[in-house]
Amino acid sequence: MENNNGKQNRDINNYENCEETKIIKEGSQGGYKGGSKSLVKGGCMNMENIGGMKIIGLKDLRNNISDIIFKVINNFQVVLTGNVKKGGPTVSIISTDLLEDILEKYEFNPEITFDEETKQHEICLKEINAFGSGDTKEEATRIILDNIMALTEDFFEDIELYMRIDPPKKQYPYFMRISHCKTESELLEVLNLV
Amino acid sequence: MQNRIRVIRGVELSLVNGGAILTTSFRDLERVCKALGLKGIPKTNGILWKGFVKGRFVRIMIHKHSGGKDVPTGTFNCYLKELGFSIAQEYNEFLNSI
Repeated sequence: MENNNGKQNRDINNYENCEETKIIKEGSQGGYKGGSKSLVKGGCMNMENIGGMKIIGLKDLRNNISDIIFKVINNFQVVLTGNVKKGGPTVSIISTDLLEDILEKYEFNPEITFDEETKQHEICLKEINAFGSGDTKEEATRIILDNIMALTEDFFEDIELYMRIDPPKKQYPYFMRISHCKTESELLEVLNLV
Repeated sequence: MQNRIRVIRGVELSLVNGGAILTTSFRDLERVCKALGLKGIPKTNGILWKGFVKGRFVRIMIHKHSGGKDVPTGTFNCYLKELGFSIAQEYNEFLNSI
């Protein structure tokens, strides 16, 4: 196992060296539209944005995908990739653990009340505009969980629409957090319903 | 009979017929969603109503077990605003017109 890791580390070092040595071939060519001051390092079709993060070209990504994924998972590196020549938007590859850590900031604050008028318990999750009600608190919890699952499923099915309009766009990190829950108990914990 | 207004959680609720709070059943809420042009999408545990009302995007999930029950006050207030009604009376009038 260690030998295998050692080999992978050497491969990564080789890959990094390749990146560094194949620099400054195309000068400032590239015309990256995403950043205001892009520093294009050609040759390997990589460039560095103003924040110092390297943008790996699609060809390099294809050729080194295993090493890159290894680095992302084990070294907590975030990799940006995209069309370096044409510029434009990029894609970030990030470890799921790291993403979940970042998403922890988006907390749910459920409002649980008893409605005297209808004699029902009601739960409101304003962050994603989800509601649940029932004769008992347990029933209200069951119903809001079902409703949240339906809302989450619909959010990602129709995400092209939702990312173009407010307020659904602002709900993205919350739905992302929900979608990463593996079990119902984990979901209840994330929703602060335990 | 004279209508009165009661304020719950900052939202005006009309009291009609001498004091009963005007709420709605989930079934009537579905009728209103349909009449407003929202699209009903069947889900495993109910129907998700979604679409634009007065330029604002609305999503309302109605659980299959909620059917005949009344919508609790807090939830009803939120739905009222989302559906573009300022007070419950306005909602009721719309419901009676469909």
